[in-house]
Amino acid sequence: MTGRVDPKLSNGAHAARERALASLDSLDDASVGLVNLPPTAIQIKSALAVGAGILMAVAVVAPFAATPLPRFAAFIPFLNATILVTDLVTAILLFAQFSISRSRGVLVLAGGYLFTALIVIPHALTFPGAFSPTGLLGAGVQTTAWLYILWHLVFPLALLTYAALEDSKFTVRGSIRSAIAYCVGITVSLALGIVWITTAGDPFLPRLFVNASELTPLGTYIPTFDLLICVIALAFLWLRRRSVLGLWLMVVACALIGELAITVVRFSLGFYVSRVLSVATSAIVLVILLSETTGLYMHLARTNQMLRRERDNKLMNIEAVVASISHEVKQPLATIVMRSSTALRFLGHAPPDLEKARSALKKIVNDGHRASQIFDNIRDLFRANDQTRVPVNVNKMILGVLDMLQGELAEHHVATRTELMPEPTLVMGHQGQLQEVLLNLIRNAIEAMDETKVDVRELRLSTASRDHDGAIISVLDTGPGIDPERLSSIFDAFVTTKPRGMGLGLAICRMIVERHGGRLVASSGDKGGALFQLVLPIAPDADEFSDRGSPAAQD
Amino acid sequence: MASNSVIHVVEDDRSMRESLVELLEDAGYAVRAYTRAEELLARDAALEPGCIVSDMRMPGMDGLTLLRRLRASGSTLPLMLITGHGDVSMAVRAMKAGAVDFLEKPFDADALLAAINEALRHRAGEMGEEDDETARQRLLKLTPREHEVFDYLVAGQSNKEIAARMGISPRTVEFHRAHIMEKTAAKGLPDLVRLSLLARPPQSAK
Repeated sequence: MTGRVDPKLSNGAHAARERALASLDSLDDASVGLVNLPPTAIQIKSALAVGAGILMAVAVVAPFAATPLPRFAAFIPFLNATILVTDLVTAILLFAQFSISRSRGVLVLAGGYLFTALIVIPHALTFPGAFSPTGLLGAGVQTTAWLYILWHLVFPLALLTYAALEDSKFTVRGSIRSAIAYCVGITVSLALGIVWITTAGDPFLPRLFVNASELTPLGTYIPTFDLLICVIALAFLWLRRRSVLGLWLMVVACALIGELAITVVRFSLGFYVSRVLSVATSAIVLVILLSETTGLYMHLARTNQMLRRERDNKLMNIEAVVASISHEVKQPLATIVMRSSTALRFLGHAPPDLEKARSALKKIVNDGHRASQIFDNIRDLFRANDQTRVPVNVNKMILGVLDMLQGELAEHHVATRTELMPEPTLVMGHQGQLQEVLLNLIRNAIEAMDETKVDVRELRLSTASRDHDGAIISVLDTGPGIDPERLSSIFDAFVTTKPRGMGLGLAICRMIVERHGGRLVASSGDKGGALFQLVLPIAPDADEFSDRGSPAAQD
Repeated sequence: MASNSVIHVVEDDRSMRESLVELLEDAGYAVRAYTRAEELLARDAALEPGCIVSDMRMPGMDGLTLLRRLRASGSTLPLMLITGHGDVSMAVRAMKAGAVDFLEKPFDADALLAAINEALRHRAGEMGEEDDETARQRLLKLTPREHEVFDYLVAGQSNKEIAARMGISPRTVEFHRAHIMEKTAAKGLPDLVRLSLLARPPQSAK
């Protein structure tokens, strides 16, 4: 039976399934959330706090930026090694984000981080006094400074490009691998080109340093040009500001601006603070990406667990359905065994009692048909050609079922009260199946009330709408109610519950309702008695339905 | 032997009820049939001596509740339960509540008649030869492992459940079960439950 359950129809049928699906939906968003999701209020607040912290630190340091501090030769190699690792990891994670979102902006940004990771290597190697008094790679006096200037030009340009391309319509269509390969190729060539120009072309480059520690006038002003690019990038990011990533890139831009604003003569206070800020620049996005990835992983694990539990529930449902069917069929089979063994006894009498034996055999034939009829009834309920759903008028159905049960209700002295919604409510479904469920619930209620006094037996049927997309049918009796301990297991199998309905078990009822995209819930009424609530999705407008002619339940 | 005993049959299913009445009458018993437990309970004081054969699962009052009500009102009429598949744990509870036996559907005429015969002898006190001591003696023959299986069996657990609990295969449980039956000379689960009830006072029984 499960093989035929249409996933569309069972969508949202079960609380757990709803939850699992809801988190699956949000998972789709979350997997590209950093790129696509707008930041939450908390994220905006924390970004503002970090940005303000950076700018405040810069403002405090700025007046004393030129103060000379002791020379610490290992500082740059140490710092650049840190930047190399963090930016490389950031670039890899951004490439991963790109492969999910296919956003060109993210690809360029990943390239920007990769570029930084590469350029810090020659920057450290050529730094005067780090590895050799004049720097490695045949560096001249200008090499390191120009590397720094170009590094702080290319990265903000990557930010700017990201901001310009952040719109989701700029996506890469072709192969992700080749897009990444191109990006890496271009970035590496750019870095190598810059290294070549700044080392081999050192004598021809405009002079930024007079000697290892004294700046030329150009050297003093050129960081301002980089700073300007950063400000433009920040402005662009501000104008776009649509994603979590964009938000934190603004913080990165702020850190870059601060860094460039106080970068002055080497080994001054400003120099040290500005280089620490460059580590911050590289770490911010990494931290955000990592926390995002961890959150995503947790989300995935939880969803997976929920789906597994859901599958177990479904298996239990099937078990309960099979148990109730086997119980139904066992009754005529037991009778057949009883009668046939009795018939054998009749034949064993001396003389054989042929008349009695014949009568018993006739009844056995009837019992055989009865057993077969049970299967027919069950099959009818789930018949394939009964899969087309039509709008069913709930009020009409309830009144019809009550009419059908009039005799039974009178026989058991049960009074009925109906509280139906005034306007006709349509649900999508199989009239026959839903009617069968309702019949079963009412029969259960009648049987339950057999144990109570005649004058208080009342069956209350009501309809109500829920959240504008569902109809609730409530069946409330004045019987002894359901033992709270049994509430959770009442649908599992009749074995653990009091034998109430002998018809179609509650397990099958629930299965039918869930296949309608609805829910069947049991509880105890406010003033005692058992309350069964049938929640069914309301049909779309009847006209719309006939236009579409589709049997799908709405979501 | 059956002349003065009346068999009270409580069964909601018409066809089954008819076939039971037919068989029992053929076997020479006087039979009274009821469609619901409440009907029988209504004539509690006027019930003819004999034996009750009741279905476990019926609309309204179930067989176990019927048994408890009868015992509460002081009736000592032996009661035998008919159970469907999966009601075994309920049947074991019924045995502990004082049912003489239970029959699992489907069962044939001879099984029912034998059980009724036994139940009537039980009433006549002819089963007195089996006392607590001999029951304990019989259980002493079981190995510790078999004892464990025995305890689960009389608690109404299926082979599969026992296997899961003990961490062994259902086939091994089957094996133990056959040994237990052989050693205790029990014919079926009802005998085992009876044995455990005899060997242990009810309050200490699981």
